[in-house]
Amino acid sequence: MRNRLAVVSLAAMSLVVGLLHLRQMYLRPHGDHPLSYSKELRVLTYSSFVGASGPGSEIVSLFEKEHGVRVNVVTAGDAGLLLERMKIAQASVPFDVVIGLDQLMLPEATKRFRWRETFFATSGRQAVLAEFASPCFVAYDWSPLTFIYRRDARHPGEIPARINDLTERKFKTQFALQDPHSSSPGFQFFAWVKALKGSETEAFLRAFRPNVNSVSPSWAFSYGLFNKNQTRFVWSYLTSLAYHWGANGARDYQVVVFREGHPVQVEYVGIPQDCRECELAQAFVEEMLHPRAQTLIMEKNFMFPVIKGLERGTVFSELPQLKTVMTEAGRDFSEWDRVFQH
Amino acid sequence: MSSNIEERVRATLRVGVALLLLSPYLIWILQVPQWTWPAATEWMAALRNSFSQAGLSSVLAFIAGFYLFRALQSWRGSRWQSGAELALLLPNMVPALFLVMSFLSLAAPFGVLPYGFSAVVFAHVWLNAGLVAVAIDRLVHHKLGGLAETAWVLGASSRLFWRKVALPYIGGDLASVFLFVFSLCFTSFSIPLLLSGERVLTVEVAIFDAIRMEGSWDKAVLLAAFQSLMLFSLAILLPEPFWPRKPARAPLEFLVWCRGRHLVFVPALIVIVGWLKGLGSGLFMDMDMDMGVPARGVLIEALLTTAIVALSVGLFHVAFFLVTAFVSPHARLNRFLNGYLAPSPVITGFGLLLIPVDGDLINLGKLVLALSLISIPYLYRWIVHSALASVRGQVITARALGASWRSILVDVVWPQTASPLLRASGLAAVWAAGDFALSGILIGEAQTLPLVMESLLSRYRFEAAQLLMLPLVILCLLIYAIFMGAARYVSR
Repeated sequence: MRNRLAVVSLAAMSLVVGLLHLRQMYLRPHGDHPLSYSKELRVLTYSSFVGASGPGSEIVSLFEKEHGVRVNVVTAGDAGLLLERMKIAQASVPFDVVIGLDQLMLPEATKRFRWRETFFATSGRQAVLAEFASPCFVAYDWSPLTFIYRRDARHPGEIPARINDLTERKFKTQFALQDPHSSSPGFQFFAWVKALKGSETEAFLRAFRPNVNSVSPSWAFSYGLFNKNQTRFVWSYLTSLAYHWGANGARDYQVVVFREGHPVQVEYVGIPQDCRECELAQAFVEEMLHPRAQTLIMEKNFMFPVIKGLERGTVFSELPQLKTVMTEAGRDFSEWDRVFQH
Repeated sequence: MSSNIEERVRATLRVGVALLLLSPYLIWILQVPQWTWPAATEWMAALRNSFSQAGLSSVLAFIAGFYLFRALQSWRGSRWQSGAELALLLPNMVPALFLVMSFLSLAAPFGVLPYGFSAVVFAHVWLNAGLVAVAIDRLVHHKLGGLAETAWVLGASSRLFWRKVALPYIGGDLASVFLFVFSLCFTSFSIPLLLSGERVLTVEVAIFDAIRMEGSWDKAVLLAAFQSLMLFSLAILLPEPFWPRKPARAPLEFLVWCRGRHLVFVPALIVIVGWLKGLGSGLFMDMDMDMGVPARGVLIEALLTTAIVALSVGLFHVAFFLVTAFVSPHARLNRFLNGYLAPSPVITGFGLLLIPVDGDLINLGKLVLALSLISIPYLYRWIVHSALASVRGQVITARALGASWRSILVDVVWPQTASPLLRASGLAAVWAAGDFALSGILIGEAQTLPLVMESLLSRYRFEAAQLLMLPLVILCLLIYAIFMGAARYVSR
């Protein structure tokens, strides 16, 4: 019995060590990180940006090859946890670049951390982004948000055109939303309602509530429900259409166009004040604005690039142009909670 | 090793076991400079919601579990016995990601996915009823088997048997099982979040809000500790749980519910049908469509990393359970292990990030540790405790006869408990293989299969994500088979 215990322990450990060795061997030709790299850039982002289908890995590899440096990517689960991850890093090794903050997170980011001012020429950028410019953060992609739906013979013409239409009884349980506490698009929806309804936000949400099919914790879950025909409208990005029209040629997917305008999500990259490789960080931000990286972001993140003209000849140029509105919201969700929280 | 040194080693290891499990809390205690207790208004509603949800879920899981236990009796002695038990336990065995994908896939053909309080309770009942059924089955066979047959021979009604014989005799054990299920429902996070439709504030959600909305780690840790202490106190009040581990072969005809015999397969069918449906939509999708399946290199890396993490978590559990077996029996440690509840994954994951060492392999190590710290308390209470309790008498006798603790572990405890210990470790490995929450926080740019799936889900590639369930399921089965094979080899 003692021998068998020893055999099993040895076999199990050998298996793990063998797999580790295989993984290292496999990673080496792909990773290509010789020990001679003298500099290391620490980048913080959300996990799906550098995930298997995100644009991050390719941008990082290109940068490593061009600058002969190692980029150490640290992830924080999702974008909502970026600032918490930064807080922890302050005590040990700080980050040089932070990718994935959106404009609604910027006030909190500026309040809690110090950031370097960054200056990049703005010529050739999308005009709409001028409203969202920030001295410390550089926009790298954007998209207006709205409800996506599938054209359906059963509901001809029954599409909301104004925000007040959302409360009509004919749309009962037809809308899928995301929770603003845990989802950026959900936060944008709440901010949009607040921007348009002001002091009547709570009353509007109460009137809208019967038409809400579900409030999901994440965009992916609510979009999954929409994909499975569980809901008629889902709150998402205008650029979601680029996926449906481009990747699977499904032109029956459409967006709701609101006369009042639409909120816009802008994603930013920033350089913390306590960066250690600040010049490299600056170069990395430049790389993210390079047409090559911007094309990758457009194709893999399904968001508009910030550089004008890149979408020409792609499905992105066929998307409808939506009027945009500025949104502002603190992290006070009390009106939302009074309606949607038990 | 002399007896004194051995005793000292055991005492040190006991402290080590407790400190290891408490380490996420300890790290935070060292790191948080100032503590603020959350206002009562912030957590009273959460506590009330958690109690009502968990209370109703566990009562209904108990009622459903009781009927499933009776249905299970009709499979006793048949070659389907093990299959019926496996079917009952399957929802508890599969990682949360599988359940979420199954829910999504099942939603379409049955109309609108149900939401709200009732959906949350239903999901908890579905998850835990089989567990209750198997626990009652073990208890009744081991503690009441003879009495049940006597009652049957004497012509007592089934109701009279339960009222007058069973409940007074195994009431304490049933209360322990109830508390276990209650704590599973009480600390459940993803199910209330996904199925409540709107926002139901539970203690776990309040912890989540304290972290994400306010960045108040002190509040989050205090709430987690409060939740843990509360359930720990309840566990202390109850008698020591006893879950006999070996299934009986003979059916208790007296308690059989023949008409419902096929119901034992329902919990597993919900998981399997949901998954197969999702897989089908992935396999038979429009081939002209750009599926966005990542490059082969990424998939191989993800597969290898997932296998390494899962196997390492399994091995960590084996080592931990062996150490626990070496330092047992010890009343206070057993009480602690039976009542302790791990903090939520975010608190554990971020706690380990505070350890100021970094690197690819170190991060994998942190992930293995974090996953183990979360699953060990559950698996100890569910499987390991009863295995160790079943040999306690022999340990005491061997010790009285002068055997060393090392010899007792290797020659007495391990041969008899290897199978359940390795089964528990195999389960931990399977859960680890399906993790994406902690992996996303801890392993940087490395990829695991669930992370690849999560990345695909967040880029509209639902079909491709469902397709990747296939290698993940195969990997999980393979890893579980490795642990079961090892169990068979060492127990031969």
